Amino acid sequence: MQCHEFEERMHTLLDERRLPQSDARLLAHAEQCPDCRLNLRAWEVLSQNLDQASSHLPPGGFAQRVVSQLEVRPAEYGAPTRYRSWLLAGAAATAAAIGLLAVTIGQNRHRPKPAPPAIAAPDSPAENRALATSPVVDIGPDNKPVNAESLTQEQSLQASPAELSRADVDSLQQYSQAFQSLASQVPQAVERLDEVEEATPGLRPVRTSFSLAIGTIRRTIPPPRKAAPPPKPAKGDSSGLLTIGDQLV
Amino acid sequence: MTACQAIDELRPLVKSCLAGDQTAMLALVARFQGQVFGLCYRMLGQRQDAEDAAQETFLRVLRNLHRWDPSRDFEPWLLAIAGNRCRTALASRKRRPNVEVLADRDVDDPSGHGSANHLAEEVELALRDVREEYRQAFVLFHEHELSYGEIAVAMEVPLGTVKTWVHRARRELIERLRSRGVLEEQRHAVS
Repeated sequence: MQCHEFEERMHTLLDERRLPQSDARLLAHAEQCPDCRLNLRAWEVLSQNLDQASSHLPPGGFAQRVVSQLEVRPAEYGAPTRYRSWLLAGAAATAAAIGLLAVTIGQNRHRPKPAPPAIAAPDSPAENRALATSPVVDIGPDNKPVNAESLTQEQSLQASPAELSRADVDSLQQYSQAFQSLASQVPQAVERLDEVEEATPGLRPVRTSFSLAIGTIRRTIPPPRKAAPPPKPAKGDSSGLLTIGDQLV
Repeated sequence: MTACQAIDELRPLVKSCLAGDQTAMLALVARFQGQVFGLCYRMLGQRQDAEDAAQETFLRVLRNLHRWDPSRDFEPWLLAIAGNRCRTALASRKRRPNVEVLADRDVDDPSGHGSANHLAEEVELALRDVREEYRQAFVLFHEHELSYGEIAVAMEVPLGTVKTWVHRARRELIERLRSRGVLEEQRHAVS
């Protein structure tokens, strides 16, 4: 038996939890080789002291100290953290939605109401035309904005002063129309976003916030990296393979 | 006692712990404190540090007991947490370069085995010089008698890596004991 075989066999026996000191082949080689004999003796000393060390115990009252440090709350004990995180995320999303709604409504409430005399008593055709060219822009089914001038004079005259004074109700209808148009004709509507905002001023702060957010994200995202060079083959290893231990250590 | 029997016995204890039963928690800590403290002591080399690490380990274990998979062995899971605590303690110790770690010595030696204590100290010093991953794998295999597979799971590395680490730890420990002349002294003491 060679010395490297002695070492390999010793490790194999130890891996199988067998005593190398009682292996006949190892002992035979150790009789002839003082170096391997010393290795065997070193392992003997080591294993004896490992056995002694397994009797290490913490000081008395250790378990009591651990448990006393633990705040036991059975109601929360063992509650899965994933559930808690979903709950928090849900609460945050709801709060954000409520905040956005409040801002939008607030913007709409502070919008100046149209002057009642200009609309309430249309006496002449010129006044009717002025009323018809109000900033409300609707987008028709043919992708073109429906011009207020296309409305008939009769339709304009049908608007009673009582209806026109309900600015809040009107603005809600305008919102609804604008959003419907936006949803059905997105590409065209995006081009006319300014027109939509004119009709629905509440959208402006939302759009500004989104633009800011997208701008910030674009600035913070790093530029794409260059492709990494291919790894070099290991020296002295014709097969190009390394053992797991060699890679890690 | 087989591993299956041990798990069967452990399940009701864990269930009681999860329900907030302090007596069950005490029983659980008392049952595994030797293993956890032993590993922490081997890894850190100081009783006080080992006690702190063992205490943190059990606090984490008791707080995260619901994460333990009852179909698996408890001990590798527990010792994995203890190993992580020790590595954190070692990392924080490295950040404080002025702290010198001295091996604890058993002051009271009722048996009067000075030579045996000296050897134990030499082994401890040799272990401390070994890289911490090697040391953890070696201690888990030879002292706690975990299989290579269990150590691989506990340390989250491939099985082959664990084997390599244990072999290297053995080689280095033998080499260190030889280079310090411990075996020569032994021989002279015997003759």
